[in-house]
Amino acid sequence: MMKEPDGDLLKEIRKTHHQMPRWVIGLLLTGLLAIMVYYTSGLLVLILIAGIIAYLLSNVIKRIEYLGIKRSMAVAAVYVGAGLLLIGADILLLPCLQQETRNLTEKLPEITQQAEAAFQDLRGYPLAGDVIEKILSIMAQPSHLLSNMLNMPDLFSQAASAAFAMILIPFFVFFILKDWPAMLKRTMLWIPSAYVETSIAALSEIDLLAGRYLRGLALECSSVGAMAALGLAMLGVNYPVTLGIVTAAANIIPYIGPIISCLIACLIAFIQFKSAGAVLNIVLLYTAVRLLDDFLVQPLTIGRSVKLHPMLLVITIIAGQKLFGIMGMVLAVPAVTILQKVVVIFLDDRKYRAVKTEALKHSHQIIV
Amino acid sequence: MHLLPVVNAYAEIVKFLYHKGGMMIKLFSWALDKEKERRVSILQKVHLFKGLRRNLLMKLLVDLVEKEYEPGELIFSEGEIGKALYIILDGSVTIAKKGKGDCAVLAELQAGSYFGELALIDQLPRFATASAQKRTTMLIMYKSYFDDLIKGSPVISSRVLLNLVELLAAYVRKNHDERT
Repeated sequence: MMKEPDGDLLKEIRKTHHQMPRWVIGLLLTGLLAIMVYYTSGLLVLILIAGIIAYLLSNVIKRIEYLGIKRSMAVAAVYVGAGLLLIGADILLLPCLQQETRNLTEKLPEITQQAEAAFQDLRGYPLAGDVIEKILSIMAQPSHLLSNMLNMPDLFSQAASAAFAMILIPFFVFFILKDWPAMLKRTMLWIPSAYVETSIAALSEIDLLAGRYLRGLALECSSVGAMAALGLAMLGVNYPVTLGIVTAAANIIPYIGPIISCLIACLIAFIQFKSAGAVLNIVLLYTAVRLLDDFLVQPLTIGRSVKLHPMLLVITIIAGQKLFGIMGMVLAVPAVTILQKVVVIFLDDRKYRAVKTEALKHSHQIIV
Repeated sequence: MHLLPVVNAYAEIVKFLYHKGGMMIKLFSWALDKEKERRVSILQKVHLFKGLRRNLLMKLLVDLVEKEYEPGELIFSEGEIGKALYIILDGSVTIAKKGKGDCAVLAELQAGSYFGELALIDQLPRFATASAQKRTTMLIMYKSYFDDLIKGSPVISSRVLLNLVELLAAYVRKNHDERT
């Protein structure tokens, strides 16, 4: 038999122990976290990238674990597999990519001259003059444009160089993958019993949404990149593989990304063919890729995991870019979707509690 | 014609691997997780998962959230909305119900037992309080995971739902016997 005074005493101790200091501790921790984020944002971005890669690989690790194999062994096997895949990709794609990059670097001054000449021809047209002036001024400072677009100095300068990041990211990924169950177990220890079930609900929803979004996005970007590269090669446009990779990478950013990649491809085609027809072909190709993506690829990959209103989606992307640069643009949509879902879970929890307690009062009538 | 020797050789390799399966397992035993094997044998005793294959139980073990409770720690209280099933991997749990003046212990559950299964069907308030008797490790199955499991495979859903119906039938019979 359990003695009631003990239970009440225990509850009383828990109440007095947790109630007041929790607010203070929470406030202090939030402040500390904000300061840390401000001063170590570069490092945090690296950890975030490592987290996303680890998350994408976690499903493979789980599938190996289902066979009863140790997690550390599963992680090692995935690393070996990823290494072999990278070597394979290097053998297949790198020579082609190297040649395209070399050609592009060698011909860059010539291309710039050709572009300027082509734009000079267009200057005579009404309205085009101002636009061309702006494009030419931007082209004069390509590095400035790129840094503005990607916000790279903010991302990496505080943490390490890109080379350092290339070493750090696989290192972080390895330990996140290997120690994730232990980290989760430790986190669960801190959660009070009353919130365990709701926390697990939130965790499983986050897992479901983030997993579906990130894995779907990876598949979608690869398909879009491959379709664009194939189409560009068929149209005889130079650098199809490089442009395909650019299209795949830009596709990560909803709405804005595909437009940017289409503009880049149009520019290359215009410089190469010096005709409006070639640009029209590229626009048609990218429209076809977009339609295929929207009606065929996306429903099969990302599906309905993102349920944001298009207007809210664009606002989210812009806000993400303003706050965290390119990473903000990429992660804003899943972050807001997850936040939306978690808020719904906690609100539902409160609503459900009230409704079910009321239903329980009459349950005996229903059963009888 | 040239394919026949290749197919034969392949069949011989498959036969060899099949007959020497034990040897292969021994060879790669260093890569197998002994703790997981022990825990799967505990899951095999859980009535809800009766009849499920070992690889499915391994999947459950990997997917479900694990939590440790200190001795005397409250797991859930009577009246709280239940949303998860708990499976005891290590330790023991006391299930008690408040009466007039004191708490009546309804059950003391050991490793391999489970409780809170009704939460997987409805999300009504818990009818008793559960607390850890000693240091206890539990697997927690949340309702949405259970729903996904049921939707995901007809084999799993028919097996688990049948087990759940058996459990409910047992509760009804027990309740009926107690009344009569």
